Amino acid sequence: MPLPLLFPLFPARAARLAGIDAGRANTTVMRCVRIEGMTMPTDKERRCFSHIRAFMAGTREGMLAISPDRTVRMLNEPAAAMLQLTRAKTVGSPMDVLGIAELTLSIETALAARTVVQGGFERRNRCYSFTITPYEDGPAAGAVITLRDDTEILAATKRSEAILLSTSDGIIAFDAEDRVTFVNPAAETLLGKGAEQLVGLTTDTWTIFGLAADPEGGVRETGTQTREVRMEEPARRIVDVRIDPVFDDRRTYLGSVSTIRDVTAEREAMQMKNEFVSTVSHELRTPLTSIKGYIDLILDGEAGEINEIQQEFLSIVKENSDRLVELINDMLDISRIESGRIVLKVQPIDVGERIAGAVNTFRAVLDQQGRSIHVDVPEHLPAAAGDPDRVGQVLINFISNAIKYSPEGGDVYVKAQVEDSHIKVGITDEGIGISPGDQAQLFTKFYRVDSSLTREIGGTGLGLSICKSIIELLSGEVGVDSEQGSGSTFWFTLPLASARHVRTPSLEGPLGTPGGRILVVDDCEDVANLIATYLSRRGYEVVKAFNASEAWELALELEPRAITLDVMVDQGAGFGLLEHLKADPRTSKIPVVVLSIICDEGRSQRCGCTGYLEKPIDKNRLVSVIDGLVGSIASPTVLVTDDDRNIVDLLTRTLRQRGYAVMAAYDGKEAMAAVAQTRPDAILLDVRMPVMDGYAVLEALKADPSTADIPVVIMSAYQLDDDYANILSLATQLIGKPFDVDDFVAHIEEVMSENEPEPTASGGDAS
Amino acid sequence: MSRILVADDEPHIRKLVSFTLGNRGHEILQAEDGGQALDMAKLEQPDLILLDVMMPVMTGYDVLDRLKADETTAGIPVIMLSAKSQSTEVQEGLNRGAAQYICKPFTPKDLVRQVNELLDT
Repeated sequence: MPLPLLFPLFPARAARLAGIDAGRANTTVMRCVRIEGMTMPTDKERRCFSHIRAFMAGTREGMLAISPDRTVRMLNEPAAAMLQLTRAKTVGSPMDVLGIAELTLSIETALAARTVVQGGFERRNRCYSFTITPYEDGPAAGAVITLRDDTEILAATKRSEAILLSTSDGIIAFDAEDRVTFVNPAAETLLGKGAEQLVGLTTDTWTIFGLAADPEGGVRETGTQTREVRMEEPARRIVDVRIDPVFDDRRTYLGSVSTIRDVTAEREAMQMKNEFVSTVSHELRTPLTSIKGYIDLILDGEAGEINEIQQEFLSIVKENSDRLVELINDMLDISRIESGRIVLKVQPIDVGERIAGAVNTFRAVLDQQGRSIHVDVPEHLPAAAGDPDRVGQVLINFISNAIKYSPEGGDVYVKAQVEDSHIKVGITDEGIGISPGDQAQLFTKFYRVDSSLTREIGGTGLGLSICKSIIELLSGEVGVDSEQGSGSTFWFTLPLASARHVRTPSLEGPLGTPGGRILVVDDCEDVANLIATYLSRRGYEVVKAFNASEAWELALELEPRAITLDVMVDQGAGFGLLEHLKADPRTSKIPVVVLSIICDEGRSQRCGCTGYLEKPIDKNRLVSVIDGLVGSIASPTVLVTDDDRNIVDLLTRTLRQRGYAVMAAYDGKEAMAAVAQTRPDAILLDVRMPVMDGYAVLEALKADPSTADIPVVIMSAYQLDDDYANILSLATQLIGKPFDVDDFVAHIEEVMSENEPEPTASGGDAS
Repeated sequence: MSRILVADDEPHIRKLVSFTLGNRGHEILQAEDGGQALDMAKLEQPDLILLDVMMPVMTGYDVLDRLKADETTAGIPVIMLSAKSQSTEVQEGLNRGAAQYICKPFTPKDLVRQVNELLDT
């Protein structure tokens, strides 16, 4: 029985549960049929009715007519068979001869009220339904009755209902108006609620579980929704809940069906397995510490001279213990992925930036081997949705494989492009290639292509499987295209960042020479010189400090506009210096950008840094971060919010030319994220935007005391909605589109001068 | 030359650390469990403490908390030496006040570098 029938299937049960009497529910007033000249027919008339007789003889439904005097006027063969009567004895007899009290009573009702009556009865284990239609016969009324044998269809219905009643998965069915129409006993047990409490309610499955509904809407809009739900009541359980929309053959929405599966036992087993992996890997680390440590001591010559053979053998031991450590790390990664304990911070990411970062880590190795890596990323590649660190991990894995598996050398190509609603990144090598048989299994755990080369290279056989899991968790795909002997392309896709992901707009400083003094703190002279070169080319005056105390003195003396700080300066004294700078009122306003190799963004932020960049340093990022910071200190900051990127670009360029620092947001949520990060001196706000419109932004800003005083200029191409007059009155200025850019900037300057509490229009605490 | 307290319940690892740092002229004190480590830290006032996390009697974190709570020992830098190597675990150690966190297995060179960095400041 196909699912769409689920809804019509249970009217009786639904009605019973809702406390409605089925018989009455089915009775509807229709119409009284008037059939002219239904007195005794003449011969001519009999001939005229021959087609009606043929019709009655041919149908499988039982048909009979009752005269106004309550005698049986005619009945067809199927009716006679259903009622087990002979036609000859029945025609002309009073209708009691039919022998079915339910039927004769209903006929009386129909004739008295002159309405159509429907009903049913059971005889000899068969179920019949009937429809009685009165007709006018002069002043009196007769009735025609159709009878149908519903035994088979009812049996089928009961079978389907029995299946749904006995399955161990909980099932809740909803009609198109979101009313609960059916709840099976398994669902009653899992929810701890009786069907009678739920049937008839207009609700949503997530609400029944006490959860928030999907923000994207119901399943009719979103398609299937699934969640893992941890229940406390009536019992502590973990259930997988799945809601599917139900459509009929013509794609008409009939409602939805929710399936609830108890997965407590499976999850517990999974958790035990993961705890086991975690414990074992910790236990393995202890003996490995000794093995590795003592070998390293001997190899480093700390335990006395060793000969060449000893050196070679111990190197083999060391290599293999390193491989064991790698295996343990990969195993932990896999176990975290499988148990869902991996935390993915999905956000809009610049794939080009990620690629540049990953490629940089291999530059030195490739240069040594005299090989090149070619990067091909289109200029305006849209943002992808992903976890920046994990995407970096996948890129590094793929690129490292591309290098390792081309022993003869050859270049590596990294290419990114948009494909449908995804960004596809391919890493191509000129190596040994992979046979079709191996390609199919390459991404499965512990699978390794068996060749002398792979045996030599080592590896755990887990890396690609981890990459696949990460990318799939990010809703992308991985794959490989290869021909043996002519290289391989490993690729992955990531979905384009949707409007749901909130990008935090970055701060762009005014155009022209930024200028100002920057203090660069790094104990490595080469690195300090490199940073100094980048920044002085950009027009900054750079002062270098090679230790913390020197840096502190220079910061006090020179009052630089910004400081770049390697936290590892003076063997890790950088954090102390950062805290010191932030604690002293003379230096607390100077923005500090932490440059670090140890990936400690969290600690840096706690210490009060304004920006964070990982080493090796990417020149463009460094310059744009410093420009933004210096801009926000030296010049007033304007937040431009509009979903039309052309308008945002135009305004950004114009404002930056005029000496403003600008943050560009493309919807209301981005605007709110920007304000939370850096308080602007003025906000330009479009009204009609996706995700969160201008009205909502304005209201939220004015409701928060920390942002209520920021002047807001509303720009709109449309007639402003009078319903929002109250909200709009909160804005400082309203400007209609299209506008003249110069006029517009004049407006902004006016607004900002009116609202300038201090002589400098600085953003105050920019950090 | 500095006095360094090494606390680890694994004798081979104590010896590895002692040998490596002893070779560089440091004086090494050894503790076999958390309780001993705390007592010796208070009594001997070492310049640096290397603490394993999973130890009998008292875990390394309990020792760390008590060292930081006692003003006579709060200033002694502590390096955690642990097989717990996930970033959240490392973060926890640093948040609790450890000056450094070294994951096992480590190489003697790394150990020496980290110890020197802390002792020099």
